[in-house]
Amino acid sequence: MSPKPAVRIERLSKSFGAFRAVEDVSFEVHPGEVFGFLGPNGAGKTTTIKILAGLLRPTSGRGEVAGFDVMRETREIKRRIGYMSQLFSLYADLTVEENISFFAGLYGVASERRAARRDWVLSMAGLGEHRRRLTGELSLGWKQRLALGCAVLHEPPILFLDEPTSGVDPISRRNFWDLIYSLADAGTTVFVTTHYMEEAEYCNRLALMNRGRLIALDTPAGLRAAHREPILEGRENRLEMVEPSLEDVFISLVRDAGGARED
Amino acid sequence: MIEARGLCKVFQDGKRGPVAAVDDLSFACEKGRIYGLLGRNGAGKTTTLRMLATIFLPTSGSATVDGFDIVREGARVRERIGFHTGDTRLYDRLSGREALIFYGRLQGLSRDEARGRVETVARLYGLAEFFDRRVGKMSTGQQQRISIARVAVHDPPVLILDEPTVGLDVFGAREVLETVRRFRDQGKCIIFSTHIMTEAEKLCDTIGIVESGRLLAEGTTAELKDRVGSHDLEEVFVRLVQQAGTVESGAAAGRRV
Repeated sequence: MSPKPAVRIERLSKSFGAFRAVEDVSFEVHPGEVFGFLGPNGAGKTTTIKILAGLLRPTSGRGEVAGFDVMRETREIKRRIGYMSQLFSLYADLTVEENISFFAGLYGVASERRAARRDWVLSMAGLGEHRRRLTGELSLGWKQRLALGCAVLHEPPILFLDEPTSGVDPISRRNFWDLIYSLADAGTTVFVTTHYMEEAEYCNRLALMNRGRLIALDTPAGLRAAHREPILEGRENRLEMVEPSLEDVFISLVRDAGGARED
Repeated sequence: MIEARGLCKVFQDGKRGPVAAVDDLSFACEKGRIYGLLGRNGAGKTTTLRMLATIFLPTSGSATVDGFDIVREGARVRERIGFHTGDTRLYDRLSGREALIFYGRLQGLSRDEARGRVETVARLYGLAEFFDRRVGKMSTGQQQRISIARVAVHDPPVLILDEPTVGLDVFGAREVLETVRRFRDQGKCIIFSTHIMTEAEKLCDTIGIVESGRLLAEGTTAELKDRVGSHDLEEVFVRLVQQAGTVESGAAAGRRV
């Protein structure tokens, strides 16, 4: 028997008045998986994440996160997830340590666990030497690692990352993905949205949304392979199957599904 | 068109004392070319772009923009550049057309000139579909296209674009890149900064990598790849910066002086 899915949604829909933000979406995310959630702006990604995080009630359909119902057990869900957005929500005027203590309190980390969790975050993020620096003075890459540390202080089995690397340089981005992988190796399920196709390649599987609907779900290699196209190659003009970039796949899938929503 | 010679900018930091955010930086970009300025967060890119845009005065060194000196002829320089950063905001309650006319007037165009230019810009960069919508009602991608078009309203020969694709989806980013290409084809001289190496690769004629305020490497994409021996520009960037040996300092910016 395979382990229980970390996230499971079935025919999930959410409307705001006449506007169908999410429509009939079903998928499962496996425990310990790095699951990429892609789609143009306005595709319904953030609405879906808000439902999964227990912040919005779906209009219809079913969903479970960590085995708890997104309609009725949102309090249980909130205790078992971590969430980090591109805005980081750290306090610039607090030191690194003070931010960690603040979030530990907010997430209800038991007092006897706090010192151990603080030290774990400092070492994971490589911030030990900077523990007493003001957060506002740190470079963007360090802030990002601190924000990730704060989001997992309470050791949630499931972590939601909403465009976590927007505006971050390639070196910091690589360090960040190393951290994501080490969390996933330790069993954390990572649910991540990004607009960068280089990052999408790092995910185990990708779900692609457009106009509120799920239009593809596969591994990055699977998506590329399914969109191989014959093109004329070489001097003899032989037909060769060429694998497209993930960006090309993304664009052609979205176009086939009616194009991105513009408003 | 743009020529920077030995640009330096030193900031006073309360704890660390004087810090050189930009340290003896020289580079040049011709008209009809795109110069990609790459570097880590805090490497000194934005400070450099702000000096070229006359927002900061250099501590030493100099630069000319279309032949005018950024220190002595700031007003002339400002007439000749379009400057776009992530901080650029548009008024939510204006329509796209109104926002651009407002900006044209700020740049000293007469009412009629501004109206005329704005129609040209809208046609050139394909804004018609949403031009009369309020900015606040536009999608992120549409807002960004208005915001990028804004820099071209007074038809400046030089454009300085600091991470113009941040936060955009694949479609939005492609449209911005397409607009930047059109700017180049019109003969404008463009400085472009980004953290997305595939963008730099598709767009830039020359790439300069900045680290700790200094120019670490410069060349075409092909030259830089050859130099490092990798086909992947991101790998090239990472290796060059790591070889410089300044990575794990954790400092927010700059070099102590």
